[in-house]
Amino acid sequence: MLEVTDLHVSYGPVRAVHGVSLTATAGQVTLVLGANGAGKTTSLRAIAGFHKPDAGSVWFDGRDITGMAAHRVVRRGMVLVPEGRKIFLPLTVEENLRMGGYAAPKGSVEKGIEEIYQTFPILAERRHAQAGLLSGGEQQMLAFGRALMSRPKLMLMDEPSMGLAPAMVERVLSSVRAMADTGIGILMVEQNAEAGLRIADTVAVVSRGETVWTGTADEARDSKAIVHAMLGEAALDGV
Amino acid sequence: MSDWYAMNVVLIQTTLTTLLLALSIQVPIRFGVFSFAGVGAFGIGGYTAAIAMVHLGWTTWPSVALGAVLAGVVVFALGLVVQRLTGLYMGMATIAFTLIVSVVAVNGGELTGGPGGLFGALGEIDTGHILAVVVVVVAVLVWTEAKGMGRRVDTVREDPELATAMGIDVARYRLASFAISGVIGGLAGAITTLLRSTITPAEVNFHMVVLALTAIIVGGARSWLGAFIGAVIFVWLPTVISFVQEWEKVVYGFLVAVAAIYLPNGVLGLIKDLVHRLRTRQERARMAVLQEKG
Repeated sequence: MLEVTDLHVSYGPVRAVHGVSLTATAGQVTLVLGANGAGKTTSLRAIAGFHKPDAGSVWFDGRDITGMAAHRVVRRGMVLVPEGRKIFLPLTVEENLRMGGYAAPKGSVEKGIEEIYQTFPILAERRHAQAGLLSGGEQQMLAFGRALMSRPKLMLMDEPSMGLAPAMVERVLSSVRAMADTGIGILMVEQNAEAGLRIADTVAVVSRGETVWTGTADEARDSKAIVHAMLGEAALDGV
Repeated sequence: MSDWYAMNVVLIQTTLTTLLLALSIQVPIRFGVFSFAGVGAFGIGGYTAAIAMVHLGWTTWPSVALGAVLAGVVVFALGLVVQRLTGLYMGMATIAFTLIVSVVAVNGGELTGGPGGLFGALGEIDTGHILAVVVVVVAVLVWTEAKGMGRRVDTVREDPELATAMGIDVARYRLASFAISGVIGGLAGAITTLLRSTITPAEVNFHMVVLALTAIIVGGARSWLGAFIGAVIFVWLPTVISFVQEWEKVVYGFLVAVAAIYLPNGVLGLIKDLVHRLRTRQERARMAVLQEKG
């Protein structure tokens, strides 16, 4: 579904990414691991069209979308859920979802909202609440919901668990799993390797701007040594 | 009433044209583009309309239309060139554009009348005409402020990246704001010029940028109503405070400073706040009554 080959991205003279290759499949969670500054976010943004890659290719759904503008990529069915739960705080939950339906086919908005309420009952309960009054975890789910409104085939997520309480991390990540189980492909960058590995199917490890290891989540758990080397001790505590 | 109107007709008309000028600056800012090209558009619209009347012998409204369209096209083209700039750089580039328009006017020879400007372009315009133009412009802007479109515009301004992630073509919205700003600024310039029958390069200058900007800062930057309040304040203020005589500029500056510091959302924001508070109080009173009864 998504095939990223040998991606190169730079910010001016700084080569942030030079050789990232990834794949993502419908119904599966692909976890991208790597230390801070390894180029994970940059890769995600380049895939979604926010940065033009210098080299490499991005194929999505059988088409070459390398360098395609981000708002077009959304219409092709790939949506980025940016880091930091960007939602409209003064608007209500439902209004936020409605905004997310901008790129959705006409007439699918009401149906989409109902489906999202089924996936995230907590959002249904608080549909008329101001988004700013939701907890961090609820806001993250709202960010997912808003992204789902564009009816994506693939969701790119940048650190969905960042800044959440441990109990909420579990809930948010299990909702990620639930979304994948409906057939959506997920490509997720996550610092919390331990929690991420629990819901992931496949793993790619990025270090210093290149992909250095790929495999299944089971293999990643077993080959602690590899991941250890990439992430350092702290990230794998308790795996 | 009609006496009052007859005495103040110039101020009323100036309020409406100032409103158009202020809107030409407000529109791009609402779209997150720090552009002052509206003042350049004012010059292009004014000169084009005057040239059409004086040199080509056109009648009033075709001249105004030509001025507005040409200003819209030129500012849109400017947008294509400078669209990647942000913040202060965008502001500088568009102020430079405005100054270029006045330099061209100074050096335009017979076509523009040089430093002395163009004379004798007296159009047949009355207050009703200007009001009609303003109503049409405001109707379009109300649509860009209303629910769905208004929220998209707010998102494009506040978080262009999020807007893009939602599938909004941010560049297209920004370019549209250039074109709209150009047309509105062009209308303001053309109508002002044909009302007064004359335009000079001095009118297309930095002080116009300041006037338009202070009008929307004091009035309110988020809505056409704010621009209207600002236009009313700055057109009528000099007559209201004429008793202070040579201190006028000082009082003017003081009021602007006070508004900038204490009214972050302008006079319109203040009014909205007061209305909101009043409603909450009424609501509470009603609840209290209900509770007593219950």
